[in-house]
Amino acid sequence: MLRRLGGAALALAGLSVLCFALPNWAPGDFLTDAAVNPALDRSTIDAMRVRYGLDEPLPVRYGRWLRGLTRGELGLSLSYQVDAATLLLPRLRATLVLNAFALLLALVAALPAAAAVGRSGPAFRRAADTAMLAVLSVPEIVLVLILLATALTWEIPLPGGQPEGVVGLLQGLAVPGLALALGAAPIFYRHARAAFDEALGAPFVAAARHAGVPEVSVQLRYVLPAAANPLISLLGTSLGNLLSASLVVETVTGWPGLGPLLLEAVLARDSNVVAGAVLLAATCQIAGNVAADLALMRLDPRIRL
Amino acid sequence: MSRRAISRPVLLLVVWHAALAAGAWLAPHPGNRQYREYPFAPPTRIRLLDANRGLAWPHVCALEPEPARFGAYREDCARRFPVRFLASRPGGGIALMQAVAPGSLFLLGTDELGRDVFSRLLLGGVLSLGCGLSAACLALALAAWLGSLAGLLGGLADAVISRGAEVLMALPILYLLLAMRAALPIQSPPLTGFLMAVCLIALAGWARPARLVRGIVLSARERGYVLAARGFGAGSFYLLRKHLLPELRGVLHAQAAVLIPRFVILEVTLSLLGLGVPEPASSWGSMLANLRQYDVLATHPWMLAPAAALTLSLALFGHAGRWLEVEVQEKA
Repeated sequence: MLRRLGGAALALAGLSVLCFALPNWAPGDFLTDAAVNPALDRSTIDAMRVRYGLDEPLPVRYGRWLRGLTRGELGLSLSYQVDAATLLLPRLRATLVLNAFALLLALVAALPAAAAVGRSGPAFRRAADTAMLAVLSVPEIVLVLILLATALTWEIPLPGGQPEGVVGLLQGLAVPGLALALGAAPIFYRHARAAFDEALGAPFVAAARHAGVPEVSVQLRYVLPAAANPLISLLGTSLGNLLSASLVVETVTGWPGLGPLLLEAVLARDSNVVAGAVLLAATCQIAGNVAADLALMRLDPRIRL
Repeated sequence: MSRRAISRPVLLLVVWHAALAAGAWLAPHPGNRQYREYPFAPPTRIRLLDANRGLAWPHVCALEPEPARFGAYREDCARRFPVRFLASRPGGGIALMQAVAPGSLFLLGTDELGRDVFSRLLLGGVLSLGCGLSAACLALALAAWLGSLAGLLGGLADAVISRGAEVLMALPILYLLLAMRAALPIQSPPLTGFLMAVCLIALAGWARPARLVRGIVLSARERGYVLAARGFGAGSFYLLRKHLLPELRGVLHAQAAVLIPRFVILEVTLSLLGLGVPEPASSWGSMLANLRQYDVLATHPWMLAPAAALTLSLALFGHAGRWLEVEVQEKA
């Protein structure tokens, strides 16, 4: 267990170097563009560079950035002139809300469907599996564009301009959440089908049935726990894909998550915001993987890490 | 399973790619030619019936912009222009089909600059699929090299490579790509942009196959014939070339089937966000980038054509990939 956490910590440390080095390594920085501005002369720009510490060597700047991290700061955003953390944390929350909503929607759709299809006739089973495979090959970019086009024709609300409160939140979530959920659901469905199939064939399920345990309890008490393990590890690993897809979906639909801000920061060469956004996304994925491992250990006493 | 039934998914995939490439070579219009008088023209209808409803050679009606409204057109069937197949294309080359001048034939309509969407779809397909294919080859070469180095040498090399791969895999891949993209110049000519996209995607995607390669090399290293060869004094690179690389063929093929479609999506995504292959080169992603404006998306559905083509490609790849999976399982 400690080993697992240690590995996660090591990965995070490596990531912090990567996150910091990549955007700061770039040829040119935020102030290169400012040099085009005729109102600013060379000495002003050099003075600004000194003021922001952009003239120091990379390792020194990395050390200062790391010290900032321990205080919960992510460094100054040069285009907004505030700490990157104050920009990024509300965005991170929006991204997490969207991803949690999509995950929930995908699970609620995929698991009962998989269980129902698993017990139906072979012809229906084949048809349902083929339909899911068809959905599987539609990438999220295409899903979100189709949903957006539909929403625009049917005047379904899009993110932005919603009233406060739960109703407004759900209205805004509808299109991006559905796009992400449709992207993730076929994968969950496929794995759930395989897991349920395996669990239903297990001898202890047959034994319970023959002992006269009602079908509902067989499903809930015997099949579901046996099928849970692969699904929980799948949840952990699919978080990365979900976050990736979420970046595009957010940017296209205008959901105020990490994605649009990261894109804007890359284009503006706002290196601290880029580094912070990537680091936060990575932290989410690592936390998700660790959480999945913890859940596995808790639910299945055979697993020791 | 008969041999023919087995190769059908792969055959379909090859046929689709060949059709795209041939189509790009025979594109009706030059990809960058802007027909400024026809922005957002809808797909042109090819007519087979003449004014008296009798059968006629395929032809198109004249397309007239509505005087007051931008992007609105009406067809004037008093003037008709025959379609010529395999005619010479303005700017050189042969066009699949073209209306006799001054008629115009846009099979899938035009974009905001009056460029033919169908021609750009074909050219963009070659670019997007080519980018995915090259990136996958590069990533697999990297993975085979680094993975077998890690498995064979062990020790420090293994530790460095494995930790590096773990760090890369701990990031959502699109975030990793954007972070790497941030280290490169934002603006670039199309060719540089294409090479940059290929290298970025390969550098972001080698980690997972490399881990698989490492595992196979680790287990193969202990096999009898490898130990025997080592005992006779074979060096690491001889072992790699003669005994280990042949073992890797299966996993590299299976990974290619997974990676190519994934990398095609990544290229399309990067270009959609404006960070991939830049204009004026057409990629499916940059063609879809216009649709981020809601009014374009709502009123010009033909601009979604690249999305349909992308989905079809991915479906074919998925089909071939599943066949490969079954094949590998049956062999094992």
